[in-house]
Amino acid sequence: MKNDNLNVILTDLAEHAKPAAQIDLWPTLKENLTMSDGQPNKGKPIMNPKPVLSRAALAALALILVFAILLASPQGQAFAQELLKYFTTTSQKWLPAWPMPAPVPTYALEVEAVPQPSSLDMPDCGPVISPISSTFLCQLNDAQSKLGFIIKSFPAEYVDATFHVMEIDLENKAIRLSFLGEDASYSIAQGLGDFPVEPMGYAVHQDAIQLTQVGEYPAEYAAGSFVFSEDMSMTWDPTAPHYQVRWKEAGYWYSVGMSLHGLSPQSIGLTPAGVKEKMILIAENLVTLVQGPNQLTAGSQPSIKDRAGFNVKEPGLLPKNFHQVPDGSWSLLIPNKVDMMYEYTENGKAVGSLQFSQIPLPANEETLRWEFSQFYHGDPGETDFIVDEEVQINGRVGHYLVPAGEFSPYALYWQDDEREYILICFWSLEFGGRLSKEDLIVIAENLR
Amino acid sequence: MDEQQAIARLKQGNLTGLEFLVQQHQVKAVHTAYLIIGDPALAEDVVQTVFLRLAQKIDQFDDDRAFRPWFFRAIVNDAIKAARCQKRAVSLEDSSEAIIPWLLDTAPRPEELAEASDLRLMVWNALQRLPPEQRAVIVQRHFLEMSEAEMVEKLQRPASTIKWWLHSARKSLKSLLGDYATGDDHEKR
Repeated sequence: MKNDNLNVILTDLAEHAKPAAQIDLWPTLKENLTMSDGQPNKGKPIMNPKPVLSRAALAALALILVFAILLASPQGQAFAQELLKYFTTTSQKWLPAWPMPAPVPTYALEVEAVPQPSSLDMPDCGPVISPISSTFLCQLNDAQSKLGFIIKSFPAEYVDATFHVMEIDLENKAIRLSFLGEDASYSIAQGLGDFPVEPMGYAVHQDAIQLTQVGEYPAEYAAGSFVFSEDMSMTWDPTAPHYQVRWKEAGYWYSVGMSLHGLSPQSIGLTPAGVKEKMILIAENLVTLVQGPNQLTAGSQPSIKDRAGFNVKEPGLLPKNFHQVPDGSWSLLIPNKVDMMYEYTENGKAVGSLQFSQIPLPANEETLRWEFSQFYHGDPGETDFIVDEEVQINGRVGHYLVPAGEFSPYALYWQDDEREYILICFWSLEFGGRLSKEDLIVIAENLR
Repeated sequence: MDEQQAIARLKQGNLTGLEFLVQQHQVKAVHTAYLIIGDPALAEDVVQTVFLRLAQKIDQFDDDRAFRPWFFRAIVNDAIKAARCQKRAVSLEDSSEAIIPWLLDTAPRPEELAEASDLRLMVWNALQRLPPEQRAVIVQRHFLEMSEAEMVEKLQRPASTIKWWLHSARKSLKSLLGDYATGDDHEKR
């Protein structure tokens, strides 16, 4: 359905239910405004009613005073510290925009394209873990041996989601696992010792912390998050659908998080209190590998390669210094889409990345191009790429796409008889090197 | 009188300012609320309430801001709240009094009109099956014709979140609409 059709239908539906000619709110509104306690409000301004503290407000004020006095005492300060132990907190409700790095002039990267090891042929649980062909269990097992402790993960009974990515911090002996569900994304982080201090954008406003219990262990729960405004500053939003519970157990810290894809708990049929109960239930029922694959969320999940339902292709040549990273994923947005991520490192630092995606045909109206336009432009069907140049890829027509915005990612999109492909380049503002259109074509022409 | 003058009058306690704003925006506001709530009477109540609140708090309104986006944000937020508070989602059966006879009208007519009626029925049914928040996203984008950038600003959520909601709402709508979701197919029928 075309968007303008939808507009016409919505207008039609609304007009039929309540014809414009029958909408006249003014008489009732005027009556409501000029009547107060049954008395006309003649000659008096209707605005700026004198604020009167209700009994409820007075009671709340009294409670606040009690807490203020309590927190000012030594015992109170100890209580406050107790409250603020597990989360990185802030008293600010607004955080200024993070300083953006100054963009540097760009130049064409002149690096040789080199043959790539095949991630698809790597053994499932070998010394090198493939993000495409390994299973969650394989990666979990590998992470345990690297970290030297038993990792807890989500219980299949309470969390229905697919494994997305695993981030291991060997230096701090910590790990974070991310999962994607239909209505929410879930994460569990854990590590040895104390909770790490987090960057301010990930902090929690101090008023959001609630003391609770996870089993026998004291825990803290917080709802809300800092959200970006248009100017890239951040404002604390206690209603943002992001929830976390944290506790410590036997020398390890644990943080369980859930972010709803919808606006509110109601979108998944829960109340805010219901969300807290669910989070604690999940936290109290975490499971480990020894309990068996069926107990773990994604425990029986096949590898991305096996789930794809088609023979996954991958770049056979990539410019030197690109390395595949474990962010290959199974897209929620588009079924059957396989993403592979490659990072470009210079002096040990990742300064660029290349996303390679594929989806079997028949795709619906150039799905990958549509997705790219969705994320960097707006509506499907919009063709406001500042460059949309036809190119030849192994004798077939492809498109080199550059969106508006000097530092936006750019892409190469093409199809063959079997599937659609897109290669998207992202670069750090602080790094000037760029892959050229020709570089992308070389990668595209050398899939295997 | 223009909007700024109307707001200035309202700030002075002059109800003609409010009357102007009501006449300017009431139809779009009631229709917006109706599409989110699914109940025309409740939609009118919601809009009345927002206008009343506007009158009581007009002194807090910053004259430098545009009125329309501010006002429709309040309408959408209140409509979402009202939709959540309804005992049950308005289903096709529930809303039969006003709209279903029209949607199901089987009177003989040209094929094109019959198809349009089918499509309205399907859109209505699909819309009512979405959670209020997703309904609101569709209504803001496709009825109020807000750009995604405006939605980012009004809803104070990151662009990625808005894109996710829109995608998710469209996806749900598409799956509920089946074949009609692919516009070209429909046009070819």
